[in-house]
Formats: sequence, C-alpha cells, structure tokens
Amino acid sequence: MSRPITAADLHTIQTIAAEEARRLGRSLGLPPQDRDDLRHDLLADLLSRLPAYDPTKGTLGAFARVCMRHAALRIGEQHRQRRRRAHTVSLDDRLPGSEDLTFADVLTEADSYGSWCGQPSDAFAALERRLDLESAVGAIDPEDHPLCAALSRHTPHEFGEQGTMPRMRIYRRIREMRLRLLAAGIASAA
Amino acid sequence: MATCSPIPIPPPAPLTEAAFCAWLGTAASGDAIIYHRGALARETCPSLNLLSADERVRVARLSSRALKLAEAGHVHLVQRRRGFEDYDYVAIARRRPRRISPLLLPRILAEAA
Repeated sequence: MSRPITAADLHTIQTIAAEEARRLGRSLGLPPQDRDDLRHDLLADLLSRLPAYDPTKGTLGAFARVCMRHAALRIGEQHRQRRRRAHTVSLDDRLPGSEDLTFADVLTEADSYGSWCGQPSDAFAALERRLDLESAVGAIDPEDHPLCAALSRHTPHEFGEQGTMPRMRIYRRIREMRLRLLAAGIASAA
Repeated sequence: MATCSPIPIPPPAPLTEAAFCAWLGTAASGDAIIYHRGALARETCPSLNLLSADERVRVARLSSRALKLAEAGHVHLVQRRRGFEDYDYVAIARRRPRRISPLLLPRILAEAA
C-alpha cells in the first residue's frame, strides 16, 4: 500500500470487519460474545495482506471485503474441524440419562482444568505435603536450614567448591540430617 | 539312617545408628528396643580394648545417637540389670511431639478446605 491509512479507511475496514464477523458468527451458530474474537481474527489477517493492496485496482473497501471473505472461509472451516474433533459441553449440562447430575458433579478435582495447567489440584495432597515439610523442618537443626537451602540449588561438591563451609563438615551435617529425618519417620527417597 | 543337621541360623546383624533411627521413625509410642547389651562404659573405653575398633565405633555412635534422641524428647532410655556388668540398654519410643506452630496450622487447614 503506497499511501498511509486515513481515519476514513479505518472506519471502512472496521465496519466491514464487523459485518463479516457477524455473518461468520451467524453461519457457525456462535453466541454474540464470540463476534469480537472473530472480528479481531479477520482484522489480523487483513493487516498482513495490506501491503499487497494496489489503489489503482480498486477501493480499499473492496480489497478488505475480499480478504475478509476468504479469511472467514478459512476460520469457519477451522471451527468446523475443531467441532468434529471435540464435542463441547458445559459443566452445567445434565448428564445423559440423569435428572440431577451435571458434568461438573462427576469430574474429580484431579481432572479439573487446573490440573491440565500443572497447578496443584488436590488440596488434601497439598496439605499432607505441607505437614510433611513442617515435620521435616522440625526434625532438622535450625543451624542446618541455610545448608538445606544451599543444597536445593547445588550439589554438596559444588557447595564445597564455593568455600563457604569445609567439605567434611558439609558431609557430616548431611549425615546428621539424614539420621534425624529417619528418626522422624521420613525415610530417604533414594 | 541319615540324619539332617539343623540349618544354622545366622546371628542377627548388629544394630547400627541408621537402623536405630529407622526403627524410631516407624515406632509407636511405647515400643521398645534393646540397642545394646553389656556394659557400655567399659566396652567403649579404647584403653580397655574389649571390642574391635570398628565395633567400638559402632557402639559409641549408637549410644551417642540414643542419648541425643533422648535429649530431644523422642525416647526414654532405661537399663535392665541381668548380671554383673551385664545390662540391657533399652530405648522406649515416646509420643511424637507436634512440630506445627499454632499460628500455621489454621492457615494450612483453611487452604485445604
């Protein structure tokens, strides 16, 4: 595009994008709140094609409409493919053959969306972990807490190389911590 | 007539410091273990040479660990006399002390709820 975009051009593009998004949303049977997403997708597609616009061949409105029609066809096909792969249901939908139960009622906390994102989803497991940690912290001498913090980042060898503590003392304290944890009922994992 | 000789039962492995700690880790309140039999003070004295060097180190470490755990409130240490300079040294597991501070526990429970 050889000339800068004017406010009138922007208004034209926005209007066409809104029309095409409405048309696409209606053909896909999407709720009105999804139209904004479609409009953004159409505008983003047009932005990448604007450098190819030649004013001698037609108006910007015609160019934008052709681009958005094509983009709408692609977006529509992607939506239909996605629907074919996954059947979307709401958590509040009734279970088939049940009067009272919804999908949310039969999903465990461990199967929830948070667990897909790697978030801790089991509050009881988290509580048990915290209690174990409390027990372990109570078993270890407070003087060894800085050493524990250092060992969470470095191997004993690396920590010894730093010269903060004599290597013999590091290994002696590790042995002492292991025995204290063992006596507190926390056996070594390895 | 052929006679079968009984299969010799190997003597139990001597209790180590780590095994003693592992026992305490799984012990319920009131459980007891004899961690040594003999006369500790004499047997751990290097000049008397009653035990080999390795065995003396093992017994010294074990008794020292038992004393530390008793001082930390994890075990009671008692002795039972069996004869002249022959004692059972017994460790009795105590109730595990709660380590969670009273300020922290309600917060943890609230998070779990």
